[in-house]
Amino acid sequence: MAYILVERVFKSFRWPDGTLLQVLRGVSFETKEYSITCLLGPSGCGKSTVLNIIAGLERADGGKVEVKGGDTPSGGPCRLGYVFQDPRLLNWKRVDENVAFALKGMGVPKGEWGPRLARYLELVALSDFRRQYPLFLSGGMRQRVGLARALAVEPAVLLMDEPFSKLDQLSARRLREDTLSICRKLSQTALLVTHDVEEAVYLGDRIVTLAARPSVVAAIYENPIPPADRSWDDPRFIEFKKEVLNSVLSVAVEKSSA
Amino acid sequence: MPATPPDRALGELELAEAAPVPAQRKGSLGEALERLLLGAASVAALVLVWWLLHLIFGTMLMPDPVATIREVLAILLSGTFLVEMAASLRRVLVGFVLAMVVSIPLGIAMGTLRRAEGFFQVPMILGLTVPGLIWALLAIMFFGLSEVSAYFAVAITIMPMLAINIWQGAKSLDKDLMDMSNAFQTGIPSKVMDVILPQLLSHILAATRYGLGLAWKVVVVVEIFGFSSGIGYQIMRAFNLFSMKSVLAWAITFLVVMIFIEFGVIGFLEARATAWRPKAEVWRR
Ligand SMILES: Nc1ncnc2c1ncn2[C@@H]1O[C@H](COP(=O)(O)OP(=O)(O)O)[C@@H](O)[C@H]1O
Ligand SMILES: [Mg+2]
Repeated sequence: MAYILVERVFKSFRWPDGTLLQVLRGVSFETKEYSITCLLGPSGCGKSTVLNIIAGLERADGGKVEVKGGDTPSGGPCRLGYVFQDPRLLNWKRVDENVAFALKGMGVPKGEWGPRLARYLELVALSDFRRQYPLFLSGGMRQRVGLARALAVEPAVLLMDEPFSKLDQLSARRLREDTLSICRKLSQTALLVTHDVEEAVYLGDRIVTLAARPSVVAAIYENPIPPADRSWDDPRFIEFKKEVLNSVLSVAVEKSSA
Repeated sequence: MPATPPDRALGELELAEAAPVPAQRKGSLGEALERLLLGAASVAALVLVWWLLHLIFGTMLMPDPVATIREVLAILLSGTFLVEMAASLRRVLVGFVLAMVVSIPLGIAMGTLRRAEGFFQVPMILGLTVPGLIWALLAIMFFGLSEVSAYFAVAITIMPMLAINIWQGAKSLDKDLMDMSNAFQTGIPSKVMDVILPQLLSHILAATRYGLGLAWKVVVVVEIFGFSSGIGYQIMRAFNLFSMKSVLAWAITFLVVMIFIEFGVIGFLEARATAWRPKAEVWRR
């Protein structure tokens, strides 16, 4: 059992000039177990805010967030792994030390660090670079370090905030494919935020679309195509993508005409 | 048959691999030599100016460089040098370490907690303006002519400067990294050691440079006031004999030690502390 339940979450930000910006207006959804759930919405609609609330970095004004599963040895709050939009690495630490930093934070016993570092750096294909400093790596590799760091804590749910959006198209495409296969291999429950319909349809087993700010959930789709069959030129894939795209567009249009 | 064979790209890759491998970075030995030469050139320029002053003002006010250097050598070979140097250096270092131990947590608190900033800002700015001479007087009045007054005077004179530097650094800590460490539930010790201090390092090193220089100035003042050991005491003695040559020679011995600290210790720390950063080529060659 591993899932996140978000129920009627509200959030407003007070800006320095005193104005109040309502971002979330009762967002509710649930992640799908052992699968990837995509949170899809236009830029600025509050997707990162949702993840930050789930991770405890922001406090919701109202509503409920429940994270269940993946028992921690201490019986503490269950583990979340967070992959950020930019890698957010400690540039003064080597690749493996960056991963170990998260293990230390999450209270993983030191004896387990060695095998975990080996395993997860191998998974993201960075074994050969474990002793390098991040700034000497390419953008794609740095993002992989971020992925390894989040996976290494063996989270109940993996949170990913537009992890491919700052990469060039080719690296993004490769990392997307790798992320999908890694999550499947680990049966990882994941919540991925994106503004890219194609990405959502390619990665998401469940797709939650958000309307423009102040956001509510516009629609929830179950991806009819099994992960192994999702390919960019498959007619079913293209069809489903169109369906999701249309709904996202219609919501946006409704908003602007209202 | 296709116009271009499908494995054409592979062939190109192999070509790229056959190209010469970039050489290892220019030997650090050559780089060190270049530095040494530049350093020597600047010392030579200084000696030249000194010698011109000697010609203008005469031996009484400005002894000639060669005689002074001879005096330096005589001091270095005399038995007292090590004892005097050790006394001064100990006062500088103990005072400096005390100040740093207070400044790091204080600077971090001021940079990250609004209340700490509000509370300590005024005393720090005021402290910055109090001359070391006054602290030296106060220290001697409080603690008498003991080592404690030297440590106290040094520490309290340089502390505001160190704390202000670290405070400035702590104000611009990366929010994204703090969020990241919170997301992984990093405890306070790891947050300080792994996330905060590395971001403050350049500020701490800069503060160390200023701080040691300032500490030396205060130590000399304290020692001149009536200590019976240390470089400052020897300078005072030479002054009482009106031997300009000895005054300069004793000062020079200390400069040499400070230069060693700058290049040997701080330089080493700095090189180690920035190994993770690719070097920027600012001026294209
Ligand atoms: N800490 C904050 N203070 C004020 N406004 C914020 C803050 N964080 C986000 N916002 C605002 O909330 C809105 C949603 O932000 P975000 O969740 O980052 O959007 P998304 O990730 O969907 O692009 C944006 O308009 C942004 O300006
Ligand atoms: Mg965002």
